[in-house]
Amino acid sequence: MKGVKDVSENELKLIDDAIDGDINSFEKLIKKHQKFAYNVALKYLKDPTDAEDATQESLIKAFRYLKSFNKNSKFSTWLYRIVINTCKDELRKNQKDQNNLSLNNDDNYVDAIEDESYEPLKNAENEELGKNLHKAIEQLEVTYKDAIVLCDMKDYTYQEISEILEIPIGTVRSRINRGRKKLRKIINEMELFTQMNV
Amino acid sequence: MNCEEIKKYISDLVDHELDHETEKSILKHIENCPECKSIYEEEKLIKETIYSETLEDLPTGFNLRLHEKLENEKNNRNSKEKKSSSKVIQLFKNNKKYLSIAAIFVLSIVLVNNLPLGLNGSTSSDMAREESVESKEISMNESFGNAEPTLRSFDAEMADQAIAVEETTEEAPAESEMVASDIDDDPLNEYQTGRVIIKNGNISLDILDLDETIRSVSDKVNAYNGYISNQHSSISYVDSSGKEYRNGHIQVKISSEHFEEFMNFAKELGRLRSSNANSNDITNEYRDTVSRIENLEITQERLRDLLKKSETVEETLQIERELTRIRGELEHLKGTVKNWDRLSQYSTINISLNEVDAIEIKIQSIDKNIFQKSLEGLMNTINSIRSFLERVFISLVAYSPLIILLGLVLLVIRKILKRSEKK
Repeated sequence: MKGVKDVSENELKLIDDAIDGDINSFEKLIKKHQKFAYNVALKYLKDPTDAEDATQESLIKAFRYLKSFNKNSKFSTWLYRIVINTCKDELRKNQKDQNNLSLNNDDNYVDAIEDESYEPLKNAENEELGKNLHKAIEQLEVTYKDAIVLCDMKDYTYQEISEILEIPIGTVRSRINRGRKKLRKIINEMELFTQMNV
Repeated sequence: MNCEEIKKYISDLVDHELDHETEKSILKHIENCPECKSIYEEEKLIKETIYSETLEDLPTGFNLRLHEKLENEKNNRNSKEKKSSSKVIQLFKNNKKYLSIAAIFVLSIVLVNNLPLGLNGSTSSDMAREESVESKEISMNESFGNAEPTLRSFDAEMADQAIAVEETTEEAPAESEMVASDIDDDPLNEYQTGRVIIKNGNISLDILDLDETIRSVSDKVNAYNGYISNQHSSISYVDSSGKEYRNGHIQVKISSEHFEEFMNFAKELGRLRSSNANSNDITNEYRDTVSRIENLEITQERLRDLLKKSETVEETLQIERELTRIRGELEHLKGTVKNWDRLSQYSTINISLNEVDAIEIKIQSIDKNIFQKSLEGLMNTINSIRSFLERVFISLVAYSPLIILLGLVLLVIRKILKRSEKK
């Protein structure tokens, strides 16, 4: 499924009521987005409690600044932007020295391992892969995480991703490229790792 | 294209971001290139796995906790708004009804406060005018020493000439001349020329110093052997710096022959605002009245003779009655003539004086061209705008306590409303 639904009239009414202070309207408005928001937060913060806090904080922010939402764009675009930015901020606050987590937001950063050597994914079982991928994304650099999450979890187009993240499309493409490359690398390493354990 | 380049497009391919042509050509390459194919498959798998992965459910109680936090946020926002100035703007937006009522309220207070002042202002000036009018009337009715001898001699003359008059009623001019010749003390133009003319003039001037001007007038009046019959001055207004501006009024009685001379003198005293002079030729009425008097006196004589000859009481009574009536009328007519003599002998000049800051004493009227006129008009407009703004500012400051009070009242009303809303 490509793209998302447009801002509906129903949504506009809910937005207006929420701006006036109606909490119920706001809850209805975010209902279909909050699960995804939570999962994004999980990808950033790993810990469910932290993820919940981050999600709720993003939603509160959305409620607070709803007035400034430009109704010409999609509500989900605006909302996810807030979610991703909040998650990045939270991550920055919680930064611990972990080898895997890098807060390097420089898109020109060249991966240490730039070589094209790869090994094909050995594990064909999707469930296993799914779990590993989940972990892999968690470990992914913040820089690439946002693009990958939006692209693969929601199947947003590059254009939509560029709107949400407020970055040029070229940057989106490069982030996805590198992100996926990194993911493949991580998966392969993990495969190797699990294989070694076994 | 070589593999290097193709690899850059694999993600695009996986995400269906390529146009149809490019997609086809890359797919073609991939079919034939195991390395690229491998990458493609992997990325595709990654994407599909992630996409199809079921999302984690929200933790239990997530929505409850969120709701609580939203309530807190709302309360914080409301309390913040009470302190911030945007609250005031919102207040205005939301309370248009109350504000309009309040505005009407304030306006009515202002009007009620200002109306009496306006009335007072006008009534005080009205009273001043009334006073001066009264004084004029009083001055008219005063008996003047100088005029008396004229009349008395006139009366005497009339009595002596009673019979002569009867015969010579048409020769009124001659009669006047006869009277005039007897009265040499007061040269009366009117009688010499045979006409009875009452002259009076009105002059309105702007002057710098009221007292000084009054002094000049008095001196001149004395020089001409006239007199000031009435004088009155009052403070017309006090400006913001406390300077008093007075206006005054002098009524001058000057012998008629000096009337024009005095008028010219008076016009030079300051900036002439207006002047008029009129002569009222009452010769005909005068003559008629004089004749009437003469006739009545003859009748009176006859009646007196009749009275002596009267035999019955009834006759006596009738004659007496008639005599009384005639006497009454004679008195009235003589009074009128007396008055006319006074007025014709002494012309009246009313001088109104208005103190101002600065005047240019124009000897000749300056012919202004359009440019000058328009400049003056512009300055007038600017001055009036300035004074208007001054007044607005002053009233704003003056009524600021009221405005503040109203604002507080509105806030209280709003609080009450909100509380009732929550319930």
